[in-house]
Amino acid sequence: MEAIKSALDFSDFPRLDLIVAGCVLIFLLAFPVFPFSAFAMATVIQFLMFSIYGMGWNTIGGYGGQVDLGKAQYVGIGAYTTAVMLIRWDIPFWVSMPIGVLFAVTWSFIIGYPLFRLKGHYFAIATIATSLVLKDLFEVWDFVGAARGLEISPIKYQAPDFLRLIFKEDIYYYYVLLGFFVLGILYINWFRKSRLGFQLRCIKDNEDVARSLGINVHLAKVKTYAIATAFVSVMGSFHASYIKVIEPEDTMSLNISILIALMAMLGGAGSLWGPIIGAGILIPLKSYLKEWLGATAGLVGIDLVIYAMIIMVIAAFEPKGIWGIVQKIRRRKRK
Amino acid sequence: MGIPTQRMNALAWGIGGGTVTIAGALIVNFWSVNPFIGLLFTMIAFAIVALGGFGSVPGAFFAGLVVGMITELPGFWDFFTYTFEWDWMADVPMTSFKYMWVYLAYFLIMVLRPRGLFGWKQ
Repeated sequence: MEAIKSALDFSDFPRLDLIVAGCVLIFLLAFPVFPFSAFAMATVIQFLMFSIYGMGWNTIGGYGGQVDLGKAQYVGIGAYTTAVMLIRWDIPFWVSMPIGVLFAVTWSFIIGYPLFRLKGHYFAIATIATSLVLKDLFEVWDFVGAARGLEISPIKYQAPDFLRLIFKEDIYYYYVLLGFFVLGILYINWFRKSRLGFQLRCIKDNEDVARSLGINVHLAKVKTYAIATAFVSVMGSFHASYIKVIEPEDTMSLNISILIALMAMLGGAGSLWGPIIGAGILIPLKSYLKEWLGATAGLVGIDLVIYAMIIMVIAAFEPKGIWGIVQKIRRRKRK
Repeated sequence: MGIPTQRMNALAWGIGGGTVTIAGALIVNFWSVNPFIGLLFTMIAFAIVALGGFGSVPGAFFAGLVVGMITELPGFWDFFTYTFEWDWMADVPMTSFKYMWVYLAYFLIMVLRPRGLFGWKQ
């Protein structure tokens, strides 16, 4: 009960933040009512997915300060668990998703325990290495379809199917995802005010002082890594149900890892709204640049150049991300 | 102390980039050219530098040889399959994931001996 009350308690944010967040939430709730195109619906679904990925990454990367570039392996574990269980044994989504989370969290404990002895850059590169090990393994393992990947054929199931999350219209996926999104925000709100959240912030500021205060630094980091893994794995399972074709190059490559980290870091790594802002700017930018510049104007590829330049500019001028800019403006106004 | 740090950093970055460019020009003998071949070599370079020790150039040289061996020795799997006629070994396509051993070696080195073979003591 305490935890639920703490999760629903947003009172330590300034009122303007809550008003803007409320408006965005109402817009998201009413979004399918407006006559937007299917492309816009797909973009907003991507935005919600990546903001949940970003929120999960934010626990260990933002509040904990350990940049983790290996989250794609857990996307893969979640996605492949759901897909294999659906194709081979016809197990519904709501059963295979917790099993996927279980596998992912077990793997994260196995890797995380030795990995958290490293700090800073070494930790980041070691996570990349573990992610690539798993991806290489999945590319040759015939049980999960090797490099061909797995395909969930939607014809076999009677859509709309709430048990297995197979729908014909995007709107059902949208509302299920919005449910996950709201749950994710509430969880992170509880997390940042919980004991583990405070321990993590202390570790981020100065690790030796945290250790001298009696905080078990290693265990706190490993527990947070498991929480981030759980977020990412749930979204991986959803990814398998939504995009019904999964392959290692698509779900477990370095691109996905870096995108996840980028969303959170660009928006503001240590705050609740940061990953959502980051995903809200990057995902529509990527999709619409690709459409306007690529498909309509015929200049294929320029969109990636402009996208990368925007990321470089933001990272060079304000490493703390967009939320860092907002906080700087607020601090200057307070003075 | 009079050392222009930013300029030295930029110089080191430039020398590193130039060396890698020369290596890239030589790689064309063996690999096809497309915009994505850099990614594989980025990770192998990290693994080599970690194995040799950060900050040691002869370490990188020896570690390069060691990583080359790690990459190619599992390919001898086929030799054992045909010599000893162990059929279960024929199904495993060992050459398909030859870089996995490099990443695994990187992970083990980082966990067991982060200093690498010739690295400085931190």
